[in-house]
Amino acid sequence: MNKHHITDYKTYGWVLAILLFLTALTVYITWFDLKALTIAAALVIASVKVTIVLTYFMHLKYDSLVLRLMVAMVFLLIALVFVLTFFDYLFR
Amino acid sequence: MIHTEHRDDFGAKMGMWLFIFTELLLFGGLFIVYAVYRSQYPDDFHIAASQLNTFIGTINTIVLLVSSMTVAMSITAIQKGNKKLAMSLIAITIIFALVFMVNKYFEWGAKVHHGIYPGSELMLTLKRGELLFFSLYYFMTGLHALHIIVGMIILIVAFVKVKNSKINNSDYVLLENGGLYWHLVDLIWIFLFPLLYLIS
Repeated sequence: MNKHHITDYKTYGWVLAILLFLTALTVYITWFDLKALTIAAALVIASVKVTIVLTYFMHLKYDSLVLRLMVAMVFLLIALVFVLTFFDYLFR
Repeated sequence: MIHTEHRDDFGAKMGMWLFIFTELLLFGGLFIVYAVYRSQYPDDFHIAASQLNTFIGTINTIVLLVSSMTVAMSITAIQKGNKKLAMSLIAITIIFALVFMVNKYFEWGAKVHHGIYPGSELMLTLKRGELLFFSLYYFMTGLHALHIIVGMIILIVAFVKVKNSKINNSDYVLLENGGLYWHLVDLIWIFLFPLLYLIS
C-alpha cells in the first residue's frame, strides 16, 4: 500500500473551476421558473457536483474497488428509500 | 535493526468511510422528510424558500467549494514533503470554515430579527407548510453548521500534528481522513443549497 497516487495541484484547480461553473449554472437556471423542470435540473447538477467531489476531492478515482462499491451502495440505498417512501405517499 | 511498526492505513480509511456512511444516512433521512413535506405543501415551501437570502447561500457555497480544494491540496503538499505549504493550506481551510460560520451568523441573525426562529410567536402563525420549511431549514443548516464546527476542530488537530511532524510524507492518513470529513460537509451543502435557497 506504499504506492499512493499523488494528485497534482493543477488537477484540483480544474476540478474547482468546474464545480464553480456548475454552481453558477444552478443559480442561473433557477432564475427561470420552469416548476418541476427547474427542480430536476438543480438536482441533476447537484448530483454531478457530488460525483465530482467524490471522485477527485475524496480521491475515490484512485482508491480500491471495495471502497468505490461501498460508496455506490450507500447512495443506492438512500435512493431506494426515497423511491419506497414516495410509493407510500403518492399511492396511499 | 529493522523497526517495524504496525499500521493499517487502508483500514483507517475504510473506518472513516463507514463513519461517513452513517452521516450520509442521517442527512439522507432528513432529505426524505424534506422531499415528502415539499410534495405535500408545494406552495407553502415555495413562499417560505423565497424568503431565504440566496446571496449569502451562494457565497457560502463558493466558500465551501474553495475550502474543499485547499484541504485536498494540503494532502498533495504533505505527500510531496512540503510541510510549510501543507500547513498554510490547512490554515486557509480553517479560515474559510470561520467565514462560513460568520455568514451563517448574519443569515440566522437576520431571520431571528424578523421573528422567524423555532418556537417564535410569528412561526406559530405561519401556514403549516411554511412552518415545516423553516423548522427543516433551521434543523438541517444547524446540524450542518455543527459539522462545520467539528470539521474545524479536526482540521486544527491536523494542523498541530503536521507542525509537530506527527503527520508527515510517509504517514498522513489522519490528514486524509480529516479531509474526507471536510468533503462530506461540502457534499451535504451541495444538496442543501439548491433545495433550501434556490428552488423557490
